[in-house]
Amino acid sequence: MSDHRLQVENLSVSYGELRAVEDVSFTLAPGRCLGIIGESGAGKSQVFLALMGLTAARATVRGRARLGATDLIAAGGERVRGREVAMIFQDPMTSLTPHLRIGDQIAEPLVAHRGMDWSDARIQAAALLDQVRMTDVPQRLRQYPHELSGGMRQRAMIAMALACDAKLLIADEPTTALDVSVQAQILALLSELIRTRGMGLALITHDMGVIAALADEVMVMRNGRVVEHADVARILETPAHEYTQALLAATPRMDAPTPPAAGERRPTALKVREVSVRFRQLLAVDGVSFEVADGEGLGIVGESGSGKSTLSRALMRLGPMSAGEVVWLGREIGHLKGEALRQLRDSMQIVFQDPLASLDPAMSIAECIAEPLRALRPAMGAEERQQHVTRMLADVGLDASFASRRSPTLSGGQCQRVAIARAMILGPKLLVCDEAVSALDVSIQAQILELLERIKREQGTSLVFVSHNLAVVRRLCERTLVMYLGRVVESGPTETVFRNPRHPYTRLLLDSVPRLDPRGERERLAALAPRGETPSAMHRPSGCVFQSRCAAAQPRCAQSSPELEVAGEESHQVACWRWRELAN
Amino acid sequence: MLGYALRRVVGLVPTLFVLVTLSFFVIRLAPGGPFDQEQVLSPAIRANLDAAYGLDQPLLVQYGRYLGALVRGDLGPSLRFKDYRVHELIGRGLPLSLTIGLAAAALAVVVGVWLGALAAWRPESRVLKGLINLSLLGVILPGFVVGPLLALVFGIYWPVFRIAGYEPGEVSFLVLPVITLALPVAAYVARMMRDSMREVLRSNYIRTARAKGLPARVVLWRHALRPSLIPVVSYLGPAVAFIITGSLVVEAVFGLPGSGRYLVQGAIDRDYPLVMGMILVYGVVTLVCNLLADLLYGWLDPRVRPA
Amino acid sequence: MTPRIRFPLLVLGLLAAIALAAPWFSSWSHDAIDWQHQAVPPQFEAGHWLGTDRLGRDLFARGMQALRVSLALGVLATLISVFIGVTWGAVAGFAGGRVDAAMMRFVDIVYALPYVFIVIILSTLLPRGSLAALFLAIGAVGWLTMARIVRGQTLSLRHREFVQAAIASGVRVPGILWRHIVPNVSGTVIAYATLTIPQVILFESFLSFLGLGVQEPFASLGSLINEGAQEMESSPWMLLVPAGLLTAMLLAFNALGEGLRARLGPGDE
Repeated sequence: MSDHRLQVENLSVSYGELRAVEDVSFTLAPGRCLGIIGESGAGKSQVFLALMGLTAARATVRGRARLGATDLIAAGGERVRGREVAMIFQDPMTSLTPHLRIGDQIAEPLVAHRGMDWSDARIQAAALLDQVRMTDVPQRLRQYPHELSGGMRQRAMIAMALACDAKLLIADEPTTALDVSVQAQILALLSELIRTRGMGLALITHDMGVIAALADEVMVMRNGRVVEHADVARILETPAHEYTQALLAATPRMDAPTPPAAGERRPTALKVREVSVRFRQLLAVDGVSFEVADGEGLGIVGESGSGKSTLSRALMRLGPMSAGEVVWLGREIGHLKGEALRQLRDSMQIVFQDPLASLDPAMSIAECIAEPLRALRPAMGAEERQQHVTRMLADVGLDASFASRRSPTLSGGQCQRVAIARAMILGPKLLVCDEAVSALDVSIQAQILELLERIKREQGTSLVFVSHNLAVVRRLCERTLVMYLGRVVESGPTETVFRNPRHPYTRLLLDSVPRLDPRGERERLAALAPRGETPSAMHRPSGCVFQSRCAAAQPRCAQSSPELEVAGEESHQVACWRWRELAN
Repeated sequence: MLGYALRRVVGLVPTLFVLVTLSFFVIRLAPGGPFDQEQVLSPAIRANLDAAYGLDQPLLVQYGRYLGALVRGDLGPSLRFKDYRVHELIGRGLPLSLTIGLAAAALAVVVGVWLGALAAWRPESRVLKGLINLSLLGVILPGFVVGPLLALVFGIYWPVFRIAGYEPGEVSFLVLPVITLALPVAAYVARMMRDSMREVLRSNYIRTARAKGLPARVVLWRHALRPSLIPVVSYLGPAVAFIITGSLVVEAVFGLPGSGRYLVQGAIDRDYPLVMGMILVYGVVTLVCNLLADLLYGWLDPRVRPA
Repeated sequence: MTPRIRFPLLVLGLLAAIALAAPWFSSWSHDAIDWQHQAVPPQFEAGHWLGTDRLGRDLFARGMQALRVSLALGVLATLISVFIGVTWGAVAGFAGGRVDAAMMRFVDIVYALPYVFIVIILSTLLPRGSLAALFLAIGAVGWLTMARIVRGQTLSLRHREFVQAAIASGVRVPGILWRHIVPNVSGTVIAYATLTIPQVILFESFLSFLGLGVQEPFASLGSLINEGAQEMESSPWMLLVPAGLLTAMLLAFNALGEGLRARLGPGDE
């Protein structure tokens, strides 16, 4: 089928002096998936935007590219856009036009390219939505993008892209903005579509797991150039280039060792009892209880809507708490206000997800780091403060020259180090990390995790690590909590929860994470068939929160909500009516 | 959607009530009364006049009486133009004022949106850039400067339109006043539209629309126009109200017999019922404009519609 | 400082300098009547560089005096607006919830009132001719937009992580407002304040046009334009001189404001 082969030779994209893409060549045959992996700034998206003719006006595109008989560069991509070549993007919420109905947006290319009239096009749109396994198709056709969930929006985007039978689909980070269980569904869908339509798929991603799940061949990019190009098994098992090796080494793995649980029982530092957070009709956190020992790391995992961030804010007393108790270092802190609450701040600190937004752009780095000292150690003189700041900068691995700079001039990783320096300057006994590494490139992520590990080890700081990324949690946390729609569904030693999950949701989560094993990964994911997505917190299912999606649900599950009970070892708990039966 | 609109209309009543009450008491705070400007009157005659118009009653009683009459649709007598009721005076000039106002508003919106959209779509065009910069003058220069200048140029040096006065049915008299009135808002709308559309054209869903291979026209009008209008519409409520109530300036400059002059003159004369009547009319116009803008907003952005 | 800021600033500086220095180098005062030269066009002989008005008063002197009044009015009234607006907006934005809703509802209602209504209030309440009262009244109305803008910015800053981090670091509320909110809104405030000045001047001109602003024998650009419009067929310079001065000043302020907004406004971080 050589009429639909994509052949790219010596492609370059530059913006004046800046070379975004330099000398890239590859071919992609129909029915195959080419994965393009790299970190931010690698130029992976630019390659394909150039092929589509979608780069900014001031970009200079050089080189040759042909899809079958059509010359892409010369034609400016316009002849093939939306027809032979289609592209889907990372964020389905902002990538769909907010004021047009889904059905109309899918029908549009049919009307524009095939000359169909609208009623016929809409019928075809319904058929397309069926092919992408959308639920309730007639209703979806008439809905607007904001009424759909993330996974549904991405399915709609795929349907839209396939409307005119594209022979090449370019997917730019298609699952990055989605929950991991939804990601598994979309990856399975893409895999099926390549097979049934004989389509070529160019998959751009920063995630090795996604590569392993879908790609036949892999192209590794860095700074606009291709550093390695081989088939997926070779890349994952015996990478040749050191950058690829570094990327793989930095990628957190599901089979990596977890920190061993401490031998003797350490004293409990933080005790959380039946904490709930309610916003008008929305119950974000529902009766959560757990304990964190001195110097221990506790992971809180969950997808969107799980309430994990709300919980972390509540226990830091930065967000509201409607019910329950938080006992920190023996003191009940849930009702503290004003000055008493303020004095508490030197023992518990937090690091946020967005590194750039965590630092005041109007303040110098030194001022940012010194702020807790100014607020809580008013007696300290300027000189002494300066010394502390310099020491902290060194501790987090930053040169002293950073002190006078401002946050907009720093990279994401550097900002996060500053945020950690600020958090640790008072020597707190608890550090809450709310998705602290989720916005960072994989290699930077690894460095920050190392830093956090060191802090935990050397200073004996307790860590509450909130994340949706299970592999990252493994590395830092001795114990893990799994949350769904505001409730804890399972908790226990990380090793046990990961190796022997008792709750159907935990199983689903763990299974959805792509393994870095190219053999059989595709089939494994396809066999998963996870159902649906997390419902909105405004419409919580009756009884067990997970029953609407649970393959093992029975009538009893809809009647009442199970409490946590011990499963096996003493510290392993699960909230499921049927855990015993399902374990066998 | 209809229910939402109806509820909003009903919600106007309390605001109008506040407006009426506030105005009633504030204008009476000013020193002086309605009969001070005339020849010096003897105290006895003054007392009779006051009594005849109910001005000797305590303020709250006057207020109550006014509200009662209002509910019956009676705006009261003019204190200055003693042979006329307020509704007669206002009614004489209002049609003309509204015509000028609405025409100017329509002109401003159409020209502004169109110019702004084009300027965003073709950022390189020198003609458009020049027009938008020139429109800055429209924003800055007040109507009472532009009006006379336009009258000078198009009414005296090149007599294309008629100025000074009005003959019913003769549109030529209205052209310059309408343009004068529309100019500042058109200029502002054009710039706002251009800035807004520029932002929209950079968004992800426009990239998707282009990636679908849709023709440029379709991308602009079907995908980019409505979101671009959103900030413009928020401004349009007060802007249209500004135009319609601001017709008094062009009426003064061009000598048109509209109702605008009654507002200021009435305040200076302390002709309370007349001023109250004008305030009521203008208040209703403003609130209706704001309401329409709100409803339009809902149509443009499905996310704010009541589910 | 970019040229977009430097150039208008220069023009304004020049205008202000001339206006302030005028009494020293002009031979006429703003209310002196020259019986020999009534309604004469611009000339050199009698020292009437911009002509005279109907009564024989020198238009250069009157124009410069009007300019002084307008500049002073613009700057002072804007300062009042800024002070009230920033305080109102920052408190509303930071407090959030019901306090914010109530405070902004008030702004919305006043904003929705037809501005001519405000004119009526002003015209009836002000003792005629009192400049101070005029300043106060205009400043009291101009704060609305500033309050809205500051509130919007404060609202978005409030939930930014660095504010949360400051709270977590034990900084008290006044400290947060002063060290984090104010520095980050000051750029926008300056830019919009510069854009408010011409609006204030325009508003006063409008009042003068209606006969409500500055009273005789003083002049404001608005009253001069009003007089000039009446004579425009026979003596066009009587309109063009004040209109030209007003235009130049407003253009310069707007250009300066736009330049500052491009440099300092939201989205510049």
